[in-house]
Amino acid sequence: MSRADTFRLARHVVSVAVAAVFIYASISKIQEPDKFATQLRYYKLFPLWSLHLLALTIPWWELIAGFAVLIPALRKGASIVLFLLSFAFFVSVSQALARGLSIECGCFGTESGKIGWAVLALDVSLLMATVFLLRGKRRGEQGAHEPSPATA
Amino acid sequence: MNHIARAFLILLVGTILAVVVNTVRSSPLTWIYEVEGTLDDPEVLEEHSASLDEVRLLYEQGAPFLIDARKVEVYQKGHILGAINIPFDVPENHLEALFANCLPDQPVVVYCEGAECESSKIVCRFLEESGYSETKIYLAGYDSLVAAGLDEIPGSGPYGDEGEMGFDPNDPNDPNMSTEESGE
Repeated sequence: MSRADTFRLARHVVSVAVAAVFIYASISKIQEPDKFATQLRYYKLFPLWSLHLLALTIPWWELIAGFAVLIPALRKGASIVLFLLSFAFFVSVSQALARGLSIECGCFGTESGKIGWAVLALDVSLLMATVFLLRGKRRGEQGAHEPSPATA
Repeated sequence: MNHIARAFLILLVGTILAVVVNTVRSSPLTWIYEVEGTLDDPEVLEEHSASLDEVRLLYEQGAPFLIDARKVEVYQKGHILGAINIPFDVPENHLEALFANCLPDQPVVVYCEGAECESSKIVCRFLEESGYSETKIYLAGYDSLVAAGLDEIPGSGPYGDEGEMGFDPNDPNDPNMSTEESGE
């Protein structure tokens, strides 16, 4: 297997993993936006007027971007959205931990457990995964679709 | 179309779907949360807050009036004697236990962890919607009640003041549901 094939396979695996996390995370939040709004409130980071707005839109962005990252033509656009969401989650959790808040994560709906280093590690993993998906084609992959002189 | 434009397209599609789904939802959420008239309004919160003396008076009357708004597992680790658990995350699952032990026209006081927690506001709102018209919040919370000398049940069993309240709010058929507090 060439380096280009390995890179393509890795990108495919990472896309599927990232999509699975975000799609799964979105479902219960879409079903119960009021509970997600409550969990956002606990972060004490967002103005009260914005809680419903965020609780209604963020899960749909997660869901649509989660599916879009599986479509090659939309992968990078979706990765930008997912990177920004992951960064927002990372900042939210970091500031809550720094302030000593012992709160529900809200990452996967009502059964998410409390924030902690594991949640922060998940956020960092998602950030790294989306950065990986945002990267350009590797040198070895450039022109990989073009037939080589030997096979032409 | 470049990648930034595609990102905006994804956000736009997500936003449109959010609007459509929220519109057809049986109880749609308002897009902008209105603080006025809610427990987030300082004036309304002031009207709903119970003093320690009020709590102590009700406590001494022995009625099952005290509502613990913390999660089930936290309640099980320790709570005020006789307090009924209506956890903020799934209050609807525990309402029958309250109905069985406390009539809607009786005064009830909700507490959560402490002054910083929001759970008591959520449960207070839920109880008012469920018909409890005399609902108040003890804002200083659980630690303050313990410090004030109200009897604490440390690490009891499931829904535990076993031998005191001894009912399981998850089980409406629990024979102990309406058992009176024995004061043990």
